[in-house]
Amino acid sequence: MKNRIPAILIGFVVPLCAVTICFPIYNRIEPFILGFSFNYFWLFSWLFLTSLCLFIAYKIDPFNREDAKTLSDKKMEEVKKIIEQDPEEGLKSEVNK
Amino acid sequence: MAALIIFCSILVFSLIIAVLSKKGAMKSNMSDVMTASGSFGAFLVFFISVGEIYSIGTMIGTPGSIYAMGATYGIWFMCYILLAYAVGYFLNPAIWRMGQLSGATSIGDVIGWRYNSKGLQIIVAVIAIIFLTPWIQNQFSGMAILFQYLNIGVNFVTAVIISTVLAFIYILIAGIRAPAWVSVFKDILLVASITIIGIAAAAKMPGGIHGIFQTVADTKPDSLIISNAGGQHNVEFTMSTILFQMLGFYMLPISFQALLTSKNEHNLRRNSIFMPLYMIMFPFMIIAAYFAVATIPSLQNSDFALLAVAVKTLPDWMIGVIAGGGALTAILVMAISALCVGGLFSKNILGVINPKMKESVMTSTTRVVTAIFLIFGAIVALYFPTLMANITTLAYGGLSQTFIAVFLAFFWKKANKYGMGAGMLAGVGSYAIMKITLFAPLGFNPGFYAMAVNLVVAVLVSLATKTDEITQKRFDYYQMTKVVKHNKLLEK
Repeated sequence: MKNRIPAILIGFVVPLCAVTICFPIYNRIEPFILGFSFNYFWLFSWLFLTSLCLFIAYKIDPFNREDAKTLSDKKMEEVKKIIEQDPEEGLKSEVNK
Repeated sequence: MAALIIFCSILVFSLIIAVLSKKGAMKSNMSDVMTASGSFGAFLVFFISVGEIYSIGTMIGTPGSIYAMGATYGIWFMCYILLAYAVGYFLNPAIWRMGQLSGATSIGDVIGWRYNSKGLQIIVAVIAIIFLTPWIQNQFSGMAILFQYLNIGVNFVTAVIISTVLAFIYILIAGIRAPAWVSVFKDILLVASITIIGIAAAAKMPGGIHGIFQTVADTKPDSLIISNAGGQHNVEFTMSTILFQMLGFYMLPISFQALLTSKNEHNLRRNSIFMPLYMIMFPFMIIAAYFAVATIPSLQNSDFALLAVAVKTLPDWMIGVIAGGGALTAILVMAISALCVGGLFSKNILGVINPKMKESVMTSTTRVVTAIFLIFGAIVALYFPTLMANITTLAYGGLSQTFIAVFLAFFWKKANKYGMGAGMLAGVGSYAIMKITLFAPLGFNPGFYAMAVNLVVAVLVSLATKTDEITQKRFDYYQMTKVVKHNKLLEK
């Protein structure tokens, strides 16, 4: 999969909806589940479910394919080199250091 | 007595870890002291990131506020940290890449480089330092609560002196490496202590967890949920606070610092998956907090809630573990924050004012400023304990405003220093005005509106002014590092 949108939906939009947008719905005491009032049960479940969402996002995110990782590391090095050779940047980085 | 021995052993052990952590440090330059030259693997980055989020304020303040004011703070805190991790999955690698390109050791460096502006660099550094000052002082206040209540044979003044000295020794020995390794130990202790208190509370209560929540639901139902009625802490306020704070979270100078220590961006993504699981201590903390609500009716100070539960349910030696874990948590957060202030001050303020400053001088200045800040924090904590409590929320509101500048840095070529500077000032200014006049339409958090004002001003001013070539070129450099464009993976 080359598109990043599904990863953004699952990794960010789903937890956002569950925890914030649905807030008025789960903000209630009854029913008790596993001993917790409903709002706390809901939130505690989402500690695990958010982790799961991020795991799925990680798996389907094109950034994490091996070829993409290699490519991005390579590009990073290339651009760093270009910046080092850039006279304006060179001056700047000396000042920064 | 057993408690005191365990407490002391924990501190000594942390010092041994700090000394051992020096191994592998090559030079004592700025980037090594501040970010370990970006050499940390996934494991350490994980621990240093979580290690500084959960301060002693979390341990003492969350149960305390549930005890005093009900669910608001606890729910808001959990939601916003949880969502911040989801944001972080996408945002952190981008910040890291920008940090690599600019050779940054702090948030000020990244913004200063991208917008080619020393002024902006100084503004950001000043806002960050203003935030970190009360943050450090909070750690001392937390310790005051800890030692007042647990009474293990160390008085507060001694505790403050010991922790100031220890925090400084960590930094002196190995820069950020020492707190990073110590945070592994600290996190284990913190999570273990809170889990044990939670379990002990549930075991002590007839009916276990359900007994606790049922009792609270029967006697004080208001403290379990967030009120739908109008007012300061209703549903709208909580929701808008979560939204604005999850964005501001990574603008905390210490969170920024933590992710710059990473060796690569892939680890940051993978770590995000595990971050929410670390929050497993929250259910236990909340069980203990409601146990206090249900069974300990009149505490003289609500911040004693968690400790009162501990004293009521645990043996003496366990109290030592909790005191040690709590103190170590405070010391660690202090150490990293003070180091962060030291770096911001010497590199982003002094270094910008005097560009000829040598790196070795800068590194020593960092250490000196770190020490001054720790001592300053200790003195404020000892003599003016309530002075700065309110500044924290104000400073967080201001700090979150840097989010717009960081966010636009990744997506908008036309964004420039005038726009970002004006936006930031408008955001901070409008936030302060709304805070003072208590202006909050629809019951939303003023920070939410301030961020909108910030965005609008930043965009309008950027459009109206000229974006210099270096700024544009740096945007292009950043774009060149990307392997995904328009949501599609680039083929070679």
